[in-house]
Amino acid sequence: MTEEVLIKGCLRNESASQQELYHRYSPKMLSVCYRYAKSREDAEDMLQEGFIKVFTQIHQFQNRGALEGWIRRIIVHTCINNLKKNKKFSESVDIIHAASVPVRDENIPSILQAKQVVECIRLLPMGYRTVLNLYAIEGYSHKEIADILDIEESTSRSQYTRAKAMLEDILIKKNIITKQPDRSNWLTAVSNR
Amino acid sequence: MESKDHRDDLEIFLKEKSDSYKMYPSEKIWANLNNQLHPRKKWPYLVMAVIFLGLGFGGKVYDTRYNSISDLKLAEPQSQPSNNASVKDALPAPLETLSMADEPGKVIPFDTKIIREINAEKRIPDPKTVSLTSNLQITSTQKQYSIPGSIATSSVSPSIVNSAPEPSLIPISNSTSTARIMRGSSLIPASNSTLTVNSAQGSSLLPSSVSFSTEKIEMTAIKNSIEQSLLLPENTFSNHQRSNSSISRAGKNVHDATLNQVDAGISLAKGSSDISNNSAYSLPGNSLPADNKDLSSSMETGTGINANQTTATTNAIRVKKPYANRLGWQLYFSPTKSYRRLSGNVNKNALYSIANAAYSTNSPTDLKSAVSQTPAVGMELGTAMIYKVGKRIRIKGGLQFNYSQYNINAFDYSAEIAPLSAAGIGHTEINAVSFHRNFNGFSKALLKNEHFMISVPLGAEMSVVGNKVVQFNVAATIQPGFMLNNQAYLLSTNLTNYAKVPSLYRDFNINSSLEAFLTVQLGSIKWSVGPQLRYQLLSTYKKSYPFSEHLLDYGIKLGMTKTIK
Repeated sequence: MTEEVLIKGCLRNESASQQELYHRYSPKMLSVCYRYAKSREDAEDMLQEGFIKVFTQIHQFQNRGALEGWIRRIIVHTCINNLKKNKKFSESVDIIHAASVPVRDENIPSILQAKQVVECIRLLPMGYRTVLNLYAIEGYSHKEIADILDIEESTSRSQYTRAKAMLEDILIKKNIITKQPDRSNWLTAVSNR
Repeated sequence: MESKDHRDDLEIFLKEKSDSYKMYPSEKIWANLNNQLHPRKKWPYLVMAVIFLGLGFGGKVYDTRYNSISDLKLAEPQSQPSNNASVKDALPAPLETLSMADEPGKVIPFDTKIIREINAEKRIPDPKTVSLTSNLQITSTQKQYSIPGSIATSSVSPSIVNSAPEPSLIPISNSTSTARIMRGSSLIPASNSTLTVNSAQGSSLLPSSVSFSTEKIEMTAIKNSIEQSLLLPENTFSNHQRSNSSISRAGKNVHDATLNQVDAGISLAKGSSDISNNSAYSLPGNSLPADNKDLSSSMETGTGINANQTTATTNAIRVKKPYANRLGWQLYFSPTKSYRRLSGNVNKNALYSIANAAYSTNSPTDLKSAVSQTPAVGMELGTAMIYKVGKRIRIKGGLQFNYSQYNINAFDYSAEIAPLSAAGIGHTEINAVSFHRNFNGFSKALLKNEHFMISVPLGAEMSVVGNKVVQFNVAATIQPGFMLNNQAYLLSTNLTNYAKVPSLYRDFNINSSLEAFLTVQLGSIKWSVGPQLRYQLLSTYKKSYPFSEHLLDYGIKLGMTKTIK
């Protein structure tokens, strides 16, 4: 079923098309939610809420870009709204003081490197994690992040820098990456694993 | 989003790894999602089936109970060992039986020399008399009286249900006598079905003492609500008389008895819940009619009261029930066809905005032309109790389930906001997401509007013409009810979209019903068939929705009524 047919079916509120669309994109979207959520259960709740929005607002999709990108933006906004609504975000987004939050030393299951990376991201404090997710992975600018999170743009920048440094330390500590004297070559270590 | 040209390797690495990571959600997420997008019909048929089965079973049990009352008999008493074993052991085998005269208030001579067995069985002459059922429960209280100089031992132990014995004094002569009155067959309350059993147990000869055993034989099975009184022989005496009556030996009065310390007698119940003080009792005499066998009174011999010996069987005596042949249980089913009457004010502000849009060429402007609908088949299932209040009039009340539906011709369309509130200031704005358009959509769609309602029909039936077998009747009911579920689409107030908004539906509603039907009596069941009309008096919707809808069901009602006899 092509994307166009899927969209038309969803516009007609057809269950089969909706199910196909859901099964096509839900694995990726759940991993997105998982990076923002505290637990898998929270992530699934966010996913469900996000897909409700996707199906009820699909008529707003203009076919100008990729459907996946459009769905992803809805999911990310749903996650951020959910964090704000549940005060989980505001409690932990005290970014100024977040540097003092100790990094949890947890055993990361070494199943897949991707999973390890995601789990390392989840070890970050919520505020750091959110900014890092939005900037490094979702591709938002600091200005957009500032708007989304209701913080200063400079705060976003500084927190991202700290978050990245903290994550780098975690990845090195977990032997996912190795820090080379020449920083530009650090990735080679990863590829050798 | 800003350009990420300056991104370093770590950021690229993170994005690459994060994007390649996939997690598979559990199946329940899709199930929940699908339920939210396509609300499932809450199918209440199973619940309704259980309710109706319960009602049917209840009706059957009720019917059976009524039938069984007319077959009531005095049951065999349960075997209960007498606890006056000491007395039982002491009693000799010969037993002198006592004959009771049927003259009211008459002191019955107690001839100790003559052992007479009375098997006074009394039959109530009128068939419209009480049927009695009893289980005899025998409790024993034993009193021993020392009678100076007396060698007579008499054990007479009558009692009446639930009451402390009020012993009469029985003077006992020196002769040995053992009297046992199994049943006070002559003592029958005039207005109660409870049978009083008097029992006297023979006692043995005990020198210088009189052993007096009072047995309370209780009849526990009591039938309530029996109007007909027993038709008894003329000889009756008042409770006062009864309580003061005594069985004296050789015509002696208690007060004149030489053995004035002897206080033995027939205790008759007083203050019994089943026997009023004003109840009259007949005291049949020695010569009871031969056919008076129902309320048998047997004199039993033996050394103790044995439940088997105290067997009392009273044949069935007809009870006239106050509502016999007046009460009926009805079950009915009716396939219906449902229509609706829709009225209300169109939100013209919204209509004009629609009219300005490009697709406005076919847009309707008034409610009548806006709606295209077709009736569909529904059903009605119910049960009721019917009570005959007059020769032609019957009232009824019951429980009824209605399912009605009709179809709307519409079109599928992409999601739109459908206004559902009235125009003007003071109206709360109500909007809903709609996937259906009233006109100019992608493709044709048939929308089903379904209503599930449970109600309590209360009304009356009247026989217009007919005989005992075939009758023509009319009936009318008013049916307050509760809407169990709605799977219905509301027309937006700009007449453009259809949307499901269950919160705008009224939960409680009132319907009225008119019907005419023909009944045919076949055996014990009366079958009925005829047309009916059901009209919903209040709008389906709440007041916040400016349109009002009144459902109208036409149907053919098929029913069966069983008269409870």
